[in-house]
Amino acid sequence: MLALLLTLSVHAQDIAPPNPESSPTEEAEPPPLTRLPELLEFVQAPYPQTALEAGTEGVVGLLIQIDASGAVTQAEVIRSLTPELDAAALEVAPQLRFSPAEDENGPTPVMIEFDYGFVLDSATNEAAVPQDDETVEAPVNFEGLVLEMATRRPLAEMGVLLVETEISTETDADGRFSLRGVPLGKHTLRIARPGWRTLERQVEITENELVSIELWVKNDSWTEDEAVGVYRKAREEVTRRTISVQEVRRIPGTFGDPVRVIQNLPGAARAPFGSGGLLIRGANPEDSAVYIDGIRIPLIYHLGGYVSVFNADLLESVDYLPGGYGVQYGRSLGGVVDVSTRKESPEQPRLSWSTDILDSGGLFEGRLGKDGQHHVAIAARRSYVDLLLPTFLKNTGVTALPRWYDYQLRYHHKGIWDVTALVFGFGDSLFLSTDPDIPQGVDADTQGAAEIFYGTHRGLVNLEREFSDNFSMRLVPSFGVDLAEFGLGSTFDIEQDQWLIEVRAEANWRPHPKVEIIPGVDFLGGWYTFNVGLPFSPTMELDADPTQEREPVSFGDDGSGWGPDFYLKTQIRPLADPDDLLLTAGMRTSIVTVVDQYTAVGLDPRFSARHRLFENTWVKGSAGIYTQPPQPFEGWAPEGDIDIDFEQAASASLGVEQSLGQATTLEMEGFYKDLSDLVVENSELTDYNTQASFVNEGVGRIYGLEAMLRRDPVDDFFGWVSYTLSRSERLDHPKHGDTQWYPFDFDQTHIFVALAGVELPRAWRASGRFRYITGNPYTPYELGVYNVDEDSYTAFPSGDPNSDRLPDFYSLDLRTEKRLTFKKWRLDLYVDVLNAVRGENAEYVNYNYDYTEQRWIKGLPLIPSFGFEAEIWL
Amino acid sequence: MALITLAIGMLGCTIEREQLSQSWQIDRTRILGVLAEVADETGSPTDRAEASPGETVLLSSLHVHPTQEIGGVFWMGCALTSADEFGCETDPEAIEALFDADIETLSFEEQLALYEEARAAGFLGFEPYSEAFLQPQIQVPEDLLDELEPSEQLEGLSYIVNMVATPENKSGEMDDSDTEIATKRVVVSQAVDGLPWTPNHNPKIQYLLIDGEQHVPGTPRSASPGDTFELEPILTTASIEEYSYINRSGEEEIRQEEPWFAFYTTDGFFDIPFSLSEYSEVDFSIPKETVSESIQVWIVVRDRRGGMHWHEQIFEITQDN
Repeated sequence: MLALLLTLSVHAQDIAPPNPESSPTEEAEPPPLTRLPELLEFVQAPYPQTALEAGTEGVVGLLIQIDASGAVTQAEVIRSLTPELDAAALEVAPQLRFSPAEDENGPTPVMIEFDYGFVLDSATNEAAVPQDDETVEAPVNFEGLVLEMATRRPLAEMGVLLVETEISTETDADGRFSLRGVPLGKHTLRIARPGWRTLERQVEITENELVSIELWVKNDSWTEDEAVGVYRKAREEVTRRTISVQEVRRIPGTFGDPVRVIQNLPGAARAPFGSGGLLIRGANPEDSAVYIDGIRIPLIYHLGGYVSVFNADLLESVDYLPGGYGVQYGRSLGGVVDVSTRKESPEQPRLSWSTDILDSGGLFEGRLGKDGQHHVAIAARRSYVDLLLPTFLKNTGVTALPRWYDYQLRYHHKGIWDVTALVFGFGDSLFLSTDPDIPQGVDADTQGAAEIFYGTHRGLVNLEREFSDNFSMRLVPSFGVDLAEFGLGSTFDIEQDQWLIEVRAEANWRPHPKVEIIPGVDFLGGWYTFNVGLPFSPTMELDADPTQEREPVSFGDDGSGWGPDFYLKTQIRPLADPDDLLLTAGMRTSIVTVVDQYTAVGLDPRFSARHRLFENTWVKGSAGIYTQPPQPFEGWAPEGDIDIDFEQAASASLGVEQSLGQATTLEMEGFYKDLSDLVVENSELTDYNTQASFVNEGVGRIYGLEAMLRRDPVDDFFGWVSYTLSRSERLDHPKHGDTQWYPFDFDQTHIFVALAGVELPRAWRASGRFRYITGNPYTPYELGVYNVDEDSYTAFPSGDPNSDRLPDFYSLDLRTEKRLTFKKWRLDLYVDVLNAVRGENAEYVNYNYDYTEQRWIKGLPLIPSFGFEAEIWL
Repeated sequence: MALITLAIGMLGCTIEREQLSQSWQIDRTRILGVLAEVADETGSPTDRAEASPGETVLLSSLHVHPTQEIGGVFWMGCALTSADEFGCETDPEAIEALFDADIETLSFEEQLALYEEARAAGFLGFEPYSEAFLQPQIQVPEDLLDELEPSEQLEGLSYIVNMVATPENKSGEMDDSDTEIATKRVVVSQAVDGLPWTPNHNPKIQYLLIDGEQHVPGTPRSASPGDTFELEPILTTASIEEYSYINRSGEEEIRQEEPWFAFYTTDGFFDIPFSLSEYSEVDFSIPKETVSESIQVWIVVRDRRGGMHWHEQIFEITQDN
């Protein structure tokens, strides 16, 4: 006897038989099972004598219940063959053993339809016994290939059923199936698997012909091709929050930008509208560092702060480290954003194109070579606001041309060395002008067009190799240039070029299973040139005499600088379970030399610890010193040899993490940062040529508490609630008797963010975000004094520095997406609406000409963004 | 539309619902200009704006208010060497004594003595003045430049002048809630007429072109609500001066002044409220809904070296219906 085992459908807590009237186009709600039960042990039923004598063959349709251990707990006949064969099948059904079905919570009971077949051996007319290689099989007369729509990926383990005959099988690893002895005539072919839309097709089997078919099945899951796997990283840092690309794309208000999402995390303050600065734990934007594959870049946003300078499709993850990070990161007092690029390309060559109201860009990636070992990707993007804006500004006499572009070229090969080469760059420019006969101001020196440009180009090679289980190395040399230019009229002209060599070399040695030693060097060096042309001398401006004659001046310099930072990091996991306690200690030596200007040396010891207090509870803490060199313009003087040093922060944090089930975590962390030697303007400056414009006199203090309740994107829902309570203050000149602490310009006492996203039927997604943030502080002014010579007013502060605040910020942002899947390509359409309900929020304060009236400069009341992304698998 | 909205947002622009008052709108007490004129031997003003030690500089201001009279403009001043960042350090008691005194009970000599005492403390004068000695003026000390090097004496230094203008309310009392405080520099040097050390002279608006036609100064222009006029102030040929300048390299440069115009009005609006000598004309529009019977327009020219002049034009509004 040969028993045919056909699993037709599986329903968790659903015993309804399938509806044979279902239309092929009808939507099938995918069951939330992550694993189907599989038959582990088959028990052969004795062939009843009467059926044997009558030569009866066929299938008994059973509905059986399988518990969480895989045992059959109940069975009933839903399609009868003969009473004797029905009884025989029912008798052995409890002895069948299955692997349990699973959902996100683990093994779960299910009910399945199971076909128990009875077939007589034709040679002996006795009950057939399964034989490995002597069974006489009918020829294959029907075969097929099942592919995923859009990606064209072969789909394995897809259920294949000819409905009328109930002949079935599964696709193999290559997506192929074949059936033998299919009766001639028309049949309904059904392809089904949870997560994919059930497909039915009419096929006709003809005599003496092998019928072949290619079938395309639509994936109903959004997550199949996205980077869920990168969500959790090793928790080496006290606070490292990793954002998967999947999450990013679902968060409203981020325009799909992986870095903008950071503003929704604890510790990140909201940058004013259109500025896009990184404001992390009360630090200046320039105090936080952004890395791409370990190499620091100067900017992460294009003009206006809406779009990052790197194609989101090439990113794997964005790590956000607000503080307490290790010694591998340096030269920064604030937070760190570590962007990792995706190294591998999909097996199927892929072309994607995205367009929204700001820009368009394309990406091609694929594998080359015999075995597809050479992964390549190339991407580029350009804005087109500058092409369309003239249409709207026609007849205004104003020309405004904002534009940006970026490009990326990536190659990856995994051999003895894991090699990734990356070339990327971006450029942003803004050109503003009016008709020649319209003055732009009362100053003849500033008549003419204004133009701003900045750009960055980098090339890097990431080399990684594991020499043994205990020793690996990583080397990342890079070379690039940063360009900046500003021009106004014929006399304002500022240009700066920096050619940079950055090299990061790092080893990872495990002398003992519980000890990890990571020595490294982070070298930064290069050359700079700058030229400044001004219609006046900075020295003369100190007198502020409007009647004084101005004289155009130009000056410039070129030079070089370098700084090899060495670091050593040690991680110890002393307890039996390595996850129970992690102690990290590190030391970084920071050196910066700008030839003929200054040399600064710093020493950054840092410690951190993570301890599992209970099964799902961790406590964590950190303490350390962080140093940062002055900004380039702060560390230069015409005569050179200036007295300036590193800025410094002594930082400490203490927090707790509580896991609330498999997908939910609660984190709380308090932090304190003491800032010293901050670079501030020299209050005693009288001559730019002979005195330092900046001095290390400022101090600051930053403290706060962060909390986050987060639901991971493991199923149809994700979201988090984030709250930060903090205070950031500065004191600029304590050595000169200054005792008045004032709030940092972007000090935001309360930052509350709640966001959630959900996947909906028919390939829809929806997400929303609500934010409440304390308004930024500002210094109030009143009573301007009229300067008759200049026709302008000089204001007097009416309060202490930053003693007033803008109104609190509220915003509700919404996003909805729809995925359309076609045979060879896929189209995602989205609408992103910022500030959908509240209306305008104050972003800056503005005064009238004599400072007797004030008004808020508000952000746009509603910002719609819509666009699409198309993906084609070649 | 969404594109342009977002593009404007990118450029840092915003949608503004509440407009702030503009500098060219005369809706409160304003000082729009100060004329510093060196007096000749007879005490009459000349067109020279740059004084020499020992000379007298006569001061007058263009002070305006849309509805009220300016009750008074109080003038103070000092040399830059005795000024702090925002103005003169004075002896307030001496000045207060002048204003606290019951003038009518004092003799002319006593009034003069009080004035001299206040003047020594920095008081320069008062507008409007009933007595000649109250006319705002600077008596430049003979020794003001003595401590400077000869080359520095040619460049000179500034005399700081501060003013406070206060309107009168309907009952004739000073309204301290709407005052204007202003400051100006008056250059004092050893420069004398003739290159290379030409002292600065005030420019002068000779007349106004309205829609390209010369308008007779001092006469009003008829207008209707909704009218737009092209205004182009014309300077005298002597207004744009050449002067010598020693640059940072020690070389002498002959430069030419680049005067510019600021426009103000009690009603209506300008396409651009300023213009340069190269782009002198602006469009002035009278609101369709105006109820004004008369609109004043002031044009102030500045030569960037401390010299200035102004011109007033009145538009008489005729309601068509």
